[in-house]
Amino acid sequence: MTVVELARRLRDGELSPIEAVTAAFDRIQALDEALNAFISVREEEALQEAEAAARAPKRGPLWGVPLAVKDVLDVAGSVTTAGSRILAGNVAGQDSEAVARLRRAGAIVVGKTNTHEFAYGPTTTSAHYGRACNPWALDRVCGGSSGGSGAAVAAGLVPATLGTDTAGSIRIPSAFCGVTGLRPSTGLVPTRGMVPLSWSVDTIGPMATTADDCALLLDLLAARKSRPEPGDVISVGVVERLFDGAIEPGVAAAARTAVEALGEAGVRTTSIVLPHLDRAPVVQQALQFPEATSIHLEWLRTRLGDYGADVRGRLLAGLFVPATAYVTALRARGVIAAGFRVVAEPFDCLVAPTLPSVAPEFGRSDPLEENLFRQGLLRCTAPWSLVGWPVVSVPCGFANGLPVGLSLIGRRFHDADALRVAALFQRVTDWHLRQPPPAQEESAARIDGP
Amino acid sequence: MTIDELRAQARLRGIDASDEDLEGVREFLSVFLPAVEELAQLLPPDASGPEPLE
Repeated sequence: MTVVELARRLRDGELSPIEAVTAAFDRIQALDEALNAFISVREEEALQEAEAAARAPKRGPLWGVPLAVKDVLDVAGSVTTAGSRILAGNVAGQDSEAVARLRRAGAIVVGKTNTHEFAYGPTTTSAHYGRACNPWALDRVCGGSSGGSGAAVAAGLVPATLGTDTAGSIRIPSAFCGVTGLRPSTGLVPTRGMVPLSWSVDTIGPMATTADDCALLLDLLAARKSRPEPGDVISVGVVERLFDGAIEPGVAAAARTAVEALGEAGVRTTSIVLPHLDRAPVVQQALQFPEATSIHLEWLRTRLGDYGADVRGRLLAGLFVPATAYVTALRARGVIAAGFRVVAEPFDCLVAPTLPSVAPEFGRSDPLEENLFRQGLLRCTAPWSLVGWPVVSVPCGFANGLPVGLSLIGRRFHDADALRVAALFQRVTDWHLRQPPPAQEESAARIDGP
Repeated sequence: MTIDELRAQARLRGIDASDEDLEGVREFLSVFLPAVEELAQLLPPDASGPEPLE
């Protein structure tokens, strides 16, 4: 069920907060042993909060809606592990600002979702809390770093989650798991109370079933209004470069069919070329690596052996990126952002495949293969992170039986434009309503009864 | 940079990394740093830094 629909049913008295929260825990109990989408649950607290909500006279737009948040976001009284051994006992004193805003709107946090260690990797294969599995194929990764958040929505454990996105961490699991995810404009949603990865690029955003759900949640999360441009969607720019090259043919075909669907809905589609697009991932990494290492410097001295090998390697690499490289990246970011803006200006938004592949199987052990996989993802996701632009990833089809994502990319602080195009796409397609087998089976079992 | 040089630099920062980890770092830097250097050569002289928020 969507957030919009669940909130309406709660408001109209068709369902109580206790019933909504209990249903979420029933599904978590039934499915999460296989998925491992959650690092911790707040069953006792959430049920108490649901009982209190039922008695409360004031009812916000998310009154009684159960949500989950990535375990890098503080929830008062709960442990924020960031998927790490280092923070295993880190009990939060207060809510992160994003969580506080959703709770003030009436949402009930049922648990903390699995993440790649310190949000620093694309697979959510934690050495400390176990790997989160893709609901569409349990032998495949669900993406990351907000992998548990993607899996939880895809399997219907909760109607929405919060993720974080630095270089793709909301969009990657959204595409791999077949859900809708929004990386907001950098700076739009406050990051206080989040375990940071890279200060200048970190964002917090919603993952849900529909773009309308994401728009509702963004309205509550945002520190400022994005700039809505009312009216019909007129035109989108197609980032041709990302439909070609190192992309799986089935993924490219699904993304092209999605662009055609927009065209059939009356949207003018125009091929565009963005200057320096291929260099954006290097620039983004030249910023992210030293920023991340700076955050972790003291733990690298005292807790080095407590990191998983992949994250430890990335953090150590950041130690050797010189200050001159960081300055070069800052200068290049300005040049790239200016070039992108000139090309994107005439369009409601841009469109590109979210990722070049479907979710891979677990067990990639060869470092070269792993690096090529990461670089392939970054080619599609890092350019928009670098310039701080909002991206909505929507399900747009399947390749080899696995979900494919399409990115709608707005200009900075034009999140509403990207969401509007995403909502239009979801009015003319139904990919976002497809459910993976475990969710289907559980739904059927609940309808049929014991 | 050699593994010995990387190890020495890491120790200056108070970090005692293994040779295995440093080998991975060395491989990464051997590709990454030339790419950044190439980028620096391409930037116009008046490229001054990040743009202010729109």
